[in-house]
Amino acid sequence: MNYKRKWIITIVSLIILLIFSIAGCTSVGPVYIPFTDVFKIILSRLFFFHSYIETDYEEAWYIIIWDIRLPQVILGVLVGVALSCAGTTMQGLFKNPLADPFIIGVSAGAALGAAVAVTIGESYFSVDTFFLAPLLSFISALLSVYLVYNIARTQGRISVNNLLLAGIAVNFFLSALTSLLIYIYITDARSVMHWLIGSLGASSWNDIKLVAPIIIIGIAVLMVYSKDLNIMLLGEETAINLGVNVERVKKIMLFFATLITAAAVSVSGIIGFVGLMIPHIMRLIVGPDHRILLPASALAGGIFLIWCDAIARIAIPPAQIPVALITAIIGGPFFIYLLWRRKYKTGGG
Amino acid sequence: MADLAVTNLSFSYDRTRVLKDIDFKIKSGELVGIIGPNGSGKTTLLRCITNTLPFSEGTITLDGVNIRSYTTRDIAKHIAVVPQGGSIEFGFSVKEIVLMGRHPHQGKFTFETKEDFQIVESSMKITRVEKFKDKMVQQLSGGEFQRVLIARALAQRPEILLLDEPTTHLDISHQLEIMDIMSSLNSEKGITILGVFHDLNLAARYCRRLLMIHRGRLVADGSLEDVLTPANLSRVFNINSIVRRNPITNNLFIDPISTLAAVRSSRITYGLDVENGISQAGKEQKIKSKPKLKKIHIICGAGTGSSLMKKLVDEDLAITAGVLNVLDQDHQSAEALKIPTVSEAAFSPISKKSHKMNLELVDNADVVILTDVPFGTANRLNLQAVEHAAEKGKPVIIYEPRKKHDINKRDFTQGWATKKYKELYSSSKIVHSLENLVKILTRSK
Repeated sequence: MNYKRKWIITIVSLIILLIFSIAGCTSVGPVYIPFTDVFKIILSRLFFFHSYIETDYEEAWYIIIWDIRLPQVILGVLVGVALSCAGTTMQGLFKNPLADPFIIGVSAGAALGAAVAVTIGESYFSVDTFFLAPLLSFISALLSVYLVYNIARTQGRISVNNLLLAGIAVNFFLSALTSLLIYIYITDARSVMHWLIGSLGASSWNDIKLVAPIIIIGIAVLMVYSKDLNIMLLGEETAINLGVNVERVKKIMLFFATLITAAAVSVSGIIGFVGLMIPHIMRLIVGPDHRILLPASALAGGIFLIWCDAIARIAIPPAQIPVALITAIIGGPFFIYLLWRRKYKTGGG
Repeated sequence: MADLAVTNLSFSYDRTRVLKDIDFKIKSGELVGIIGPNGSGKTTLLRCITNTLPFSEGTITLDGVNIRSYTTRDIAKHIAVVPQGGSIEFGFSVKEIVLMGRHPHQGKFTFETKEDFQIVESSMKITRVEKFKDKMVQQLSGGEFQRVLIARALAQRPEILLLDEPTTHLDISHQLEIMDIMSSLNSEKGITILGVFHDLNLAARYCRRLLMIHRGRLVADGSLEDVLTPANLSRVFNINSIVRRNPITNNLFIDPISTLAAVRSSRITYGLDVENGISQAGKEQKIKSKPKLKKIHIICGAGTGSSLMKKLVDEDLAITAGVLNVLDQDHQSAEALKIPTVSEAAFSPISKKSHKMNLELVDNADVVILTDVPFGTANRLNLQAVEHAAEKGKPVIIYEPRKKHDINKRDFTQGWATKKYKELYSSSKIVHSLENLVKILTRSK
């Protein structure tokens, strides 16, 4: 009862904040477009509202908002939501405050996939890597996690410690392969850099159509298991004794956390710190209960990332800095601050 | 109904057998303790019962149904576990932790029902944690947290409670508090309890039946009297102990005297074993032990020799004692320390036969020690035995650690003993402290 009210208040207020952030971030850019006009343009596209909206804004603004900024902001929400939801899940599963969405090899796998795509594109077929790179990075992210998972598995069980160590080892190995590819084959390293230092610059509605279903389904599944994740914070054996099928929950949660991370990385490249920092902040605010923490982190991750992206757009106009740099510049000092606050504890660790 | 049957259970961790052919049945409503030394497999057994560990051989059934055919969730509806407690580092409130006990009964998508909250409230009331239900668990003391864990287990509404050393981290009053709760759950709510205990006396106080596990095997199963015998304790725990009944509570309690390693070495140094080198162990020990040993005969009684015997056994000296009445405290001590002793029936005067055997031991000894035992008509022959030693020229040590406890205060023979003592005082060494006595005995070794 108490919990239900807390859930509703937290989630509703975050959703309202998200809606205003979307509008706010869309109005921010080299060309300033008033907040109200942003709302009008967005609402005019929605079939229910369009007849009531006066189209008294400039034609060019419509293109800037609808074709350029809005897809970037929406994709930013999706990526932020996915990364911080996956980060919360990983921290809970690993009971480790340093766990993030990339801890078991997603990032290194994605980067290698992208590098392979660029290599193929450049040296053999001279095809456009525009479509190939996201696809290969998605596939190789999943494959690398599958590799880590199988290395860590002993006698049909996965120990989180093994998983952590295997993740580190595979990360190093695949990163080395990526560097090797860049060093030998790739003449324009910037095309791979797009994956190593993630950005939302080249977002389109097509990207959204591609990843939105995966991310939404993934988060829904993770939320279904949030109660089990709470109990697993008390230790695996205790969780089993309380009726949680620990091995199955671990497998499912690892799979979907990886899936949404890979989907995010395939469209934006690697954006660090969102999935590490947002779960920590939200845990301080709403507590360790994953039934609230997971959706709250997800929404907060979306809000955080689009504001970071807004900064990336206006910091040195007209150029766009990769958003991953902004998250790292904000995230690094913030994390040091967290370390100072010794009394803060992560879920169980 | 909550009948648990374990049949031919074996379990191995990476080819090391941890449990071998475990066989027992527990009926609904029993309170059973599992005891055994560290690493004997007690906790592994519990984990097999909760299906946390995949056991290789044997079957475990709950109400006749194989535990393997239950889902994790279904087992949790019948069996709850109270773990050891220990570190507490999560940011959940007491109520939230107890509410997790409802998990096996809840659906994936539903919120907690009114019934869930009622069960949680009543579970918290039973273990008296409702006063601090909104506190964060990391703010609780060890005893309070343990009660929260019990409340969580109760919220599962189990028929069987498994305890995994639930009082390990607690002080004695909290240990009793927790076990009193367990005991009333068993007697009032009819919950079957099977618990692993480290503390034998705690197990003896609360359990009605014990399973003793040693090196993965069930070596004893039965009532307290049948399981907690000095023989079992020495075989399984390697301790040398006296099992008594507390005269007030009437509970059995185990009074450990020494580890068996100490006793073994004292036995080997004693005459026969060393000289004949009977056992292999004896042969190995023979090299280590001093070649020429003093044999010491102790004349004591009424507890005046107990600490002395223990000390001398610890010092690896070869000791005999006599004549001691059965039920005499010194007799119990000598028996527990495995000291060769001439025994006399309880409360009886020393018989001629016993006296003769005692004299033999005196003759065989190199030193005779006389403690400050009271003398009466029943044991005057013991004083004659000392006299006999003095006459034969054997060194006699009179050990009198207590001040103002000289012979006239403990002479119940109308002056006869006092007279004898006068002669003895002049011819023998008098020692007042145990340290000095040990020094004298070991110096001349």
